Amino acid sequence: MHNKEFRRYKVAVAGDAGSGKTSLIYRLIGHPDITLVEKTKGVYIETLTNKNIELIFWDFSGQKHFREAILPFFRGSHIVVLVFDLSNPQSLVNLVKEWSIYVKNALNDVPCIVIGNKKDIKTLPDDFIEASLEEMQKTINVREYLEVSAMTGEGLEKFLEVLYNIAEELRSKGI
Amino acid sequence: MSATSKFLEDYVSLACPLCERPVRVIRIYAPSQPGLKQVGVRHDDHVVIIKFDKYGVARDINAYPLVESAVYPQKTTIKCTRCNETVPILYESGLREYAVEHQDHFVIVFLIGKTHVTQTIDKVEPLRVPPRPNIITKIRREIGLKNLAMIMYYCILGEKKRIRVPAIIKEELENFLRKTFDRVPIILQEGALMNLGWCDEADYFWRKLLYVIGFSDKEAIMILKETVEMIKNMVSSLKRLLTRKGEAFVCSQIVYLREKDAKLYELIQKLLHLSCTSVETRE
Repeated sequence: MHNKEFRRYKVAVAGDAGSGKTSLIYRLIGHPDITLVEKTKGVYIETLTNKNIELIFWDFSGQKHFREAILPFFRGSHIVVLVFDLSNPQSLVNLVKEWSIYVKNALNDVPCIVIGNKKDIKTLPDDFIEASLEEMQKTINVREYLEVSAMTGEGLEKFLEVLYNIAEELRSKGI
Repeated sequence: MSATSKFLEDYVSLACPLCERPVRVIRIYAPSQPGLKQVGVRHDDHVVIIKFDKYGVARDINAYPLVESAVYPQKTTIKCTRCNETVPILYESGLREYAVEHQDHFVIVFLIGKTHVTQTIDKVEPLRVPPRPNIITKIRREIGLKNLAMIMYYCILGEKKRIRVPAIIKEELENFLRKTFDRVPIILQEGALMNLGWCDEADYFWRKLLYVIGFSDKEAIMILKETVEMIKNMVSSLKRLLTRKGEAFVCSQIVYLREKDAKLYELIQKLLHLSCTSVETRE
């Protein structure tokens, strides 16, 4: 059915509740209205196909009381997207002290993209973000950091480009 | 702040994420959605921050160790943006986050390396009221927690199973199921409690019921309702994958759940009408 170049990659999207993970995915798949996004309960799966590459987004609920049920689904991911809210310091600190550890424990050196969402209402200072990224880099393979706004659409084209570049790299390695 | 009768009627009871003891505060209503209203409450040697939505439901809870300003007079300090009091910045403490108490607010300090960010959060007083049994405790008294877990299991299966329960609890149980599942998916009849037995697929519900047993009704129901929705969402997403990619693919995705939570894995398989042991997994 598919030619031999076709590849399918699992993309885990994680981060604290309210950081805008589902809104980002809605934007990427071209959903017309992100105001319809509701809090994710458990896992939400969406696919996007381009250039003979299919990305399967696994959008994980950020709520603490679902963690033990959803974390096993991290396994088998080829790319991880960690999302935080640029107006919420706790969401960034939790990427450093919790989500990075989950990724490290479940996956072996998988490329990670860190997304600072809600750029339109950013309050976090750049030096705090840079220090956090340095900390995360000690634990996981942070390939790229991008600031975007799911609300305005800013930065999403670049985000998609980075995703497909990493997917192409994986394909060239025979993964 | 004294505990008036209004407070006694409308308070939140949750488990502290740091010490696991109960935290009880007056219920707060955020002015608008999606914004959440955060308040902090002193809880012995730490501070608990609770986020409320506009319906007064506690959506998130965090706890931070409390740092006394006087203990660190010589360290780096900044001024509180609200009251101009001192806030110690403890780069060398090994703490990533902590709270400082000021008169009517807490300052939460987040540290990464040699950088910091602060957040100021209104203070509320803890309510010193005796625990009040929630809806789960009342049902548990009459039919037991494992039977309630079994009833939730039958509800999520979606079969119109007939279950006999004592008359004294029937209405309360119907009310609980309606709030948790948005309807009553089984048929409850009055009578002596029938033997519901036990199956491993109900274990996940049992653990969630144990978790919320000390919570106030709104929060307990919210977590159980979200648990049901989580399972339904997971199953509906996996069903879509099943149609598009087939059984082997879905089994390859859920196989890791077996290692972490074999009983939830059994439940998901049951709801998918899938047996992964008979399917060759790819990964």
